[in-house]
Amino acid sequence: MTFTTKAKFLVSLAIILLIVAVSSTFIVKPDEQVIVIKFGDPQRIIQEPGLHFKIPFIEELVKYSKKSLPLDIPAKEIIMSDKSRVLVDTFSLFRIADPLKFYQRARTLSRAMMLLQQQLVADLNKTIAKVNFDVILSDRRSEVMAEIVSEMKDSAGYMGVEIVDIRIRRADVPTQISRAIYDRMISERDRIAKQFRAIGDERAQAIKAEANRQSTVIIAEANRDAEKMRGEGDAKAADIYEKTYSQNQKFYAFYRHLQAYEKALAETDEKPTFIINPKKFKFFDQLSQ
Amino acid sequence: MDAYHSKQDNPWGNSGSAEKKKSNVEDFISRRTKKIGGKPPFTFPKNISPFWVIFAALFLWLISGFYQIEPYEQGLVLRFGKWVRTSDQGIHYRLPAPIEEVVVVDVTSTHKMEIGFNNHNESHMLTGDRNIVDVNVIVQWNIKDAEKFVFNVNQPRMAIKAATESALREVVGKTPIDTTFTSGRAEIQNKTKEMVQRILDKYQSGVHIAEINLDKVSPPDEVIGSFREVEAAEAYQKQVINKAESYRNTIVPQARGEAAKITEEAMGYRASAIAKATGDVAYFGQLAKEHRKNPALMETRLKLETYEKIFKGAKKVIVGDQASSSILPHMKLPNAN
Repeated sequence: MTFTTKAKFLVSLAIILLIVAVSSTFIVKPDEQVIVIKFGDPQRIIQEPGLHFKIPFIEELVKYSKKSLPLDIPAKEIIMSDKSRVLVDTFSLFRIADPLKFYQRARTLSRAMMLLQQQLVADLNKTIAKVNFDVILSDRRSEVMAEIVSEMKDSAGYMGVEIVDIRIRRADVPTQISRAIYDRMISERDRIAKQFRAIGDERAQAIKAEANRQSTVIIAEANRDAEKMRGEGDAKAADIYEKTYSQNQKFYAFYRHLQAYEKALAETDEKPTFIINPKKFKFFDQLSQ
Repeated sequence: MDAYHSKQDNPWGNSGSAEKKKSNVEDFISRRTKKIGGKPPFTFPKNISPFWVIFAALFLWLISGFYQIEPYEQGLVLRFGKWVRTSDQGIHYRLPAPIEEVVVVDVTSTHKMEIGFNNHNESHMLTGDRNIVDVNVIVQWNIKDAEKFVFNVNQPRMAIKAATESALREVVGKTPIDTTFTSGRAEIQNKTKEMVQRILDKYQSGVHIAEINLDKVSPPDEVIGSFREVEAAEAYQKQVINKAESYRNTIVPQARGEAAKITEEAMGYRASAIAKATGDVAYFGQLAKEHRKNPALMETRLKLETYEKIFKGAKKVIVGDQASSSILPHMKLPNAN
C-alpha cells in the first residue's frame, strides 16, 4: 500500500510539473514572432526562434507571421495625365517588422490588410494620375513604383509594417480603348499588307523591264557585230577581187560583159525575142559564106 | 478508462489488485505498448514494476526520432522551433517531439506554372509600339533554398506568378509587336527570367527560376485576320518577284541564244563572202593566164559560148535589110511564126 500511495503522489507531482512546464514555455518557429502580454500590457517581443519562457497563466501570447505577406487587390481604372485610362493591377508584399506597433495600431492581420489596401488605392490614384501612358510602358515604370512605395512607407510604417515590394503587375488599357487599338492594328496591318503587294508588283515590273532591256541590248549588240562582220567579209572580198582584176583590167571587162549578157538574156524566166538581121550579125557569117 | 480495462485482452486485466494501483500515466503507457505490441500482446509478468513500463515508453519515444529523407528531399531540423541543421537523403535521427521536428521539403522537383492560358486578362499585354499581343508563358521553377522557401514568403506561388506577370509585361512593353513574334522572343524570355529571378531573390523566397518559356506569342484573336493578310501579302510579294525573276531567267538566255545565232550567221556570211571571192578570183586567174597565151582565141571561144547560151531557148525573128530600120511591127506579132 505504501508503494502505491507513493507512486500516486509521484505521478501526480509529475503531471503538475508537466502542466507548469508546458504553460511556462513556448516555441517560436522561424516564421513567427511573438508578443508576450500581461493583462493586456505588452511585456516583450520575441523574434528569435527557439524555446522561450513566460510566467504561466499570467502572461499570454500573440503570434504574428514573420513571412512576407502578399496583398493582391483587384484591378483599378485610373485616369492619367494625358486623359487616357489605364487599368492597374498591383501585387504587393508586406512584412510585419514591428510587432508591437502592429499589435497596438492594427491588431489583426485582416484589419491591417484592409487599411493597407485603402492606402494603396489612394496612392496609386495619386501617383499614376500624374504621369502619362508612355511612362507606364517605359523604363520609368520602376520609378513610378518606387514613388508609390515611398508614399506608402509612412502609413505602413505607422502600423509596424514594412513594404517588401509593390509591383505593377498589369497596366492595361480598358476594353473600349483596346477596341480602338485593335482597329488601329487592323488598319496598320492593312497598310503593311498593301505595301507588301505594291512593292512586290513594283519589283516584279522592274525585274521584267530590266530583263527586256537586257535582251533588247543583247540582240542589238549582236546585230551590230553581225553587220560589222558582213562588212568585213564584203570588204575583204572586194579587196581580193580588186587585187586580181586590176592586173587584167581589159580581159576582166570583156569577161564580165559576157557574164552580164548571159545573166540578163539567158538566165531570165521570160525568154527574150531576138529580131535578127543575119546580114548584119557576124554570128551568122559562117552560114552565109 | 473502465471500458477499456474490462476488455478480455487487456494485458493487465487478469490482475484485479494491480488494476487499482494504476494511474492515468500507466494507462496511457499501456495503450501505447499494446498498440505497438500487436494483437496477441506478449504477456507481462503479473507483478511488473511501473519502472519497466516507464522505461519501455521512454525507449519508444526515443526511437520515434528516426526519419528518412528521399533523394529529392531535404529535411530541416528545428529544435524548439529553431533551425539547427539540414539533412540530406538517408536515415537520420533527431531528438523526438516536441524537442526537435523535421520539415521535409521537395528540393529537386521542377514545378510548372502556366500563365495566360485561356485567360485574356493575363495573356493580353501592350507592346512597345502600343499594340496588343497575346502571350502565354510557362514558368519552370524549383526550390534552391529550402529554409528560405519554407519560412520567408507566404504563398510563394502567388509571388512567382505576380513577379512573372509584372516582369513579362515590363519587357514586352518595351518591345515592338513584330519583334515579339520573331527575333525578340528569346530575348524576352531571357530578360523576363532574369528579372523574375531578381525579384524573387529580393523577396528571399528561396525559389530558382529554371526556365521561362513563351509558349505562344500571337496577335489577339480580334485582329489575327489582318495579320494573316499581311503574311499572305508577303507571300504574294515573294511569288510575284519569283515569277518576274523566272521571266528574266528565261528571256535573257533566249536573247543570248538569238544573239549567238545572229553572230554566227554573220560570221558565216563573212567567211563565205571571202571564200567566194577567193574562188572567183582563182577561177578568173586561171582564165586570165590562158588568155595571155592566146587572147584572140579565147575571146572568140568565150563569145561563141555566150551566144550559144543566149540564143538557145530564146525566140528568134529573122528579118531582111529593109526591115531592120523598123523593129516595132515585128514586135507586135509574136504569134506570126
